[in-house]
Amino acid sequence: MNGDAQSCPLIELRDVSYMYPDGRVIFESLNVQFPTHHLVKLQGPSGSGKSTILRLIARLLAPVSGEIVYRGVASCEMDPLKWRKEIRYVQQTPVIPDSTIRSFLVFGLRIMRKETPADNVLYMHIRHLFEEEISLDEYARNLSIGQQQRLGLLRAAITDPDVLLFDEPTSALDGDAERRVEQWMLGLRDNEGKNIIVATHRDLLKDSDCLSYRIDGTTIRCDR
Amino acid sequence: MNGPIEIEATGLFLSLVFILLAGISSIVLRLKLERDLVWGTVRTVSQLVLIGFVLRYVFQIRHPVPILFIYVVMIYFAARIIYKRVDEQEVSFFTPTFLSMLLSYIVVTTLVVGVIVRADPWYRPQYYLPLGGMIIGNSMNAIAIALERLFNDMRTRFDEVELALTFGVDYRQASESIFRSAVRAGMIPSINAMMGVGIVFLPGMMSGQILAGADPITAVQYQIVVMLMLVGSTTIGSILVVYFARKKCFDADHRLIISKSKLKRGSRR
Repeated sequence: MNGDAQSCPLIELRDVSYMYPDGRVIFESLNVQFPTHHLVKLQGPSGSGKSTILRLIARLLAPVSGEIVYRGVASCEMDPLKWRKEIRYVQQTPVIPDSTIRSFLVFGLRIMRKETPADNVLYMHIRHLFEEEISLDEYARNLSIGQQQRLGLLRAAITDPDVLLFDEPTSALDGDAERRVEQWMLGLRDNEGKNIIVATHRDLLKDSDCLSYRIDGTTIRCDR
Repeated sequence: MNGPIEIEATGLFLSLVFILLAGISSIVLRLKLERDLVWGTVRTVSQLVLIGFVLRYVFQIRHPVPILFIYVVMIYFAARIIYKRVDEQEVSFFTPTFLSMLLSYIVVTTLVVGVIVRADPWYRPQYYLPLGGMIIGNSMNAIAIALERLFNDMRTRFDEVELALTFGVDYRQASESIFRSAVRAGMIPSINAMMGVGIVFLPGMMSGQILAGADPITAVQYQIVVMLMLVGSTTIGSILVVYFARKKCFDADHRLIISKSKLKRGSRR
């Protein structure tokens, strides 16, 4: 990372074009910058390409042309595995392993060969996102979809990446749980210095202090 | 031991009775199979007579290059058959499949003919081509099964693979269990065949040798080698093919190329 890392944007898409495998063009020469130390809300109707943008940023999809820049470093100059260790994309529907909640939560840490935290630390994390009591020994597939979705967010966050990309993180949640997720995300930004981009078509983070971007056809503009 | 009883021309002609029987049944029961029966009979007779003369000629060759060339052509056609059967539009797996088959089959066949059977010379066509043919015929199935499993699992477990990739692991680690289950799927039929052989079925090769007047114990010795060699070739073949085909499911940046839902034939632009 270079010296002016602080002043350069967190993520930048430069002239990015993307086409679906069936040949449909979704973005052409897209340019957008996301600043550091923010909670960014990326809005747009279903099918407008929110997930695609997040997947492009995480380099899970390859743009047809253009480049993605992370803290001043272009994607072609950085190893994709190192890139994804810093920028974590979280799928909308979490993959639920056939296991306990404990191994569900530490899945990422385990495959990254990182140390797994003690139970009391995991419980502390859980309490941020859940009002109800949840046991780590419980079977993950017995939880409701909304509970699984929140655990999916947690599974990504505890691996401590620089950037978190949440894809419709509250699609299966009711109002109260959604508020809790909002507070949790704001806490991640304010207390842990995380950069978060949330793709949503809901009215998420309405009165919160966050940046709002909207997908408008093939461009993205910043509302505020 | 005597050689086999030769079938005389009248005998061969008489065997057409079976086709006649099938033909009459087809007419009486209106199965509409008469044309196919006639065409099938013509093809069977001409193809086999042709290959008979070709083999008679090939068996006189005393140089490894033409023999290996014939073997490579056989493997090529097997790879084409697999390619058509697996029907995968997004991942170009023909070349890795063909090369893996080539490598593993030539190694196993040469080992069996040269070292185990101790044929002299090591490429002796009477041994090399039939044994090689058995390897191809058998592991062709194994490889097709393994590849079908691989591509199918990549799609049904797409989210799982992608999840692992999001944590920055490489494509090998992300698809470890898919790799394993595809190789297993390819190997299991030949392992199962070891369980049933001699009890549930008598293999064609052994029956053939016995008909040709060989001592059953000699036939059994050959059959044991064949069974074990088939396990060996399906193992090496499946591992190599799945290893390289899996690589083709990802790009250089460890991204999944294969998409979640299967593209239909011809839908790709």
